[in-house]
Amino acid sequence: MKDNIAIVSALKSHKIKVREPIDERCWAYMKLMRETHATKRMVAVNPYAEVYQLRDNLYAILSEHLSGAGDMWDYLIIGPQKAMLIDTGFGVGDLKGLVNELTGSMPLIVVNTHAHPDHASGNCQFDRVYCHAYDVPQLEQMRNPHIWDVLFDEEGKPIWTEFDREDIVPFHKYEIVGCPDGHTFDLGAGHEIELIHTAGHTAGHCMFLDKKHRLLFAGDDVISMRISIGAARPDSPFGEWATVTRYRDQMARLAARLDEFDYVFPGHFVLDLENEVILNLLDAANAIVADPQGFDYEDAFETSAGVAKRYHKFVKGLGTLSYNEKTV
Amino acid sequence: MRQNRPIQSAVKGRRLLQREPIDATSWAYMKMLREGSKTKRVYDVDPYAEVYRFRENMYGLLIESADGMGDVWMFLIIGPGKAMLIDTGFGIGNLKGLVDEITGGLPLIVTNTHCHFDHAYGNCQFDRCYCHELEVEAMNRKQDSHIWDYLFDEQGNGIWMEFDREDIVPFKMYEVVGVPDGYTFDLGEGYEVELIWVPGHSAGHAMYLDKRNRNLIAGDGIISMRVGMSGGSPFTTVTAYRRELVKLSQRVHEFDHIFPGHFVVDLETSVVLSLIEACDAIIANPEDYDDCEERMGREMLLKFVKGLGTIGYNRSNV
Repeated sequence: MKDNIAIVSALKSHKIKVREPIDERCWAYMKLMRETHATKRMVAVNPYAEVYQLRDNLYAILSEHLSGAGDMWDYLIIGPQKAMLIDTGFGVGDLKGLVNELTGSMPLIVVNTHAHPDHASGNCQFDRVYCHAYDVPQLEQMRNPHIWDVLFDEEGKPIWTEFDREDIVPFHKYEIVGCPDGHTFDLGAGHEIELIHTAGHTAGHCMFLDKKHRLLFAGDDVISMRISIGAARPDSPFGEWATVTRYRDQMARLAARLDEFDYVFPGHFVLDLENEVILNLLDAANAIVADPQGFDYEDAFETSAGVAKRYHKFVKGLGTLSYNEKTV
Repeated sequence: MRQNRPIQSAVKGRRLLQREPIDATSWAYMKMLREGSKTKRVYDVDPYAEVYRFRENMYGLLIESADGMGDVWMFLIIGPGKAMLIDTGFGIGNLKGLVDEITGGLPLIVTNTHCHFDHAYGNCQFDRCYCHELEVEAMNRKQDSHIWDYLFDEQGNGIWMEFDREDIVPFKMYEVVGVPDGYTFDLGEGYEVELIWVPGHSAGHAMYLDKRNRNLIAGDGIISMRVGMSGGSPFTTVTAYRRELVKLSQRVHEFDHIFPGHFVVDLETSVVLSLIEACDAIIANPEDYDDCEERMGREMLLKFVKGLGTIGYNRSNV
């Protein structure tokens, strides 16, 4: 397997190996952004994060994936009275300290797009985290001090990405608040952020719509490389939502609201995408639902349960939607 | 038709109309680059071009399209004794002055990837331009002071871009020199740049391999949105394109990064393999296209390319 060419960075983490190369367009984007963006900076309190200021009151926080997949974006919106942190990464490095430094210690609302380790393991640095109600069971399973164990081999060495185990901020139990679709958070002076349930990647996957700045924070339901439908745990009580059909239904609802946002900020890779990608995703999802066997190509990938087959449908202007027979 | 949202930039000229929206990923890349890159610079001598420094001695010069298509890259390599400019854009603005300012007046070799409007209309600012030998005739057909007329409506206003007509550097004849596949230019002290013929988009379309930087300047033979086959020649087919891409794929150990003529640059070399895979699929079954668009009154079939974009073709140029 061909590795991507290294990106020059001062992060404390270092990749040892990856599960797959990142596709060329996405990697070129990350290389350009990380090596030349004028606003890039690092904050001493957290050497595992690169910070980019993308709007007056919007920061994107990049940290490297610690188990071989794509690097993640967390987003920080600064409102008039409160700030909102969308996703919390792997929890290695002081994310809370970083956020407080960027906000000047404003009151903070912490939310998750979905309950996966690369987006929610830093939750325990905070006292309370909001997510969609259907991802609460999965998040509760992750609320324990052993979530980082899989990152290390039997000798206690990191498997995928080199980092200092001491930099894991110790686990502390936090409150999980499940919200319904449409729940609105107020950052003060009428600056509203709406939780929009989009399902698909996980049963309770949601996006966050910053109504004032017309931006949509899309988590892993919009990605310029691959959107994996049905990545919920097999025993998830709301598993039927982690399907292409439900995802398609939610994209159709979102497509009817295109006049409410201009740009989309995914959980990985290319960000600041124009809102038309929702239409492209809807087209691709419709095509899959109409003919699940009409995929463009298939491949296999390793899971904890062995090798699994995966179908890919191309999404115009973006990447692919991946699924299998069970997740249509 | 949907238009992309404007990108903030201080270049002269104002986009009025796009013929088609640029795809989401390519546009997001350009937005991040143009609004965020700390290497970006606009020089007084040519306010139409943004200059990005991609390597110690290699610059990308970006201009907005004057005819409603995708914005265009030119590349400038500074060698020990000479510089090389690859492509010349629309010829709006003083490109020669800009290049001289960046190079400090080094002797300059001007080359083209292909003869199209957006890549070769600035040729006449120079005395001599090199291209692949199959591109010479088409290049010479465009040695004409009326090449820019199509950019204006009957009132003399720009159709796709509002710009000052006075900023078109007046036409003058120049020498077109055709060279064969594999021809090597020397920028001094053994700094070699090789012309590699990769037809398809045009019959004599060429790429340029900067052997020292291990960069391939790919013109419109590799694009993150759509690589279009133009047709009308035995060399502007998917089959001819694939044949030379296969040869190129046997040389990927000679370069690390690819710089296309539009949109995403600094791409890894594995895109060559993905393009071959897509060509193979088209040739095996031209009817198994992924999408279909009407372009300039004609049907264009599109096949997706993993990690990149699409190949555009029709039933007559497979």
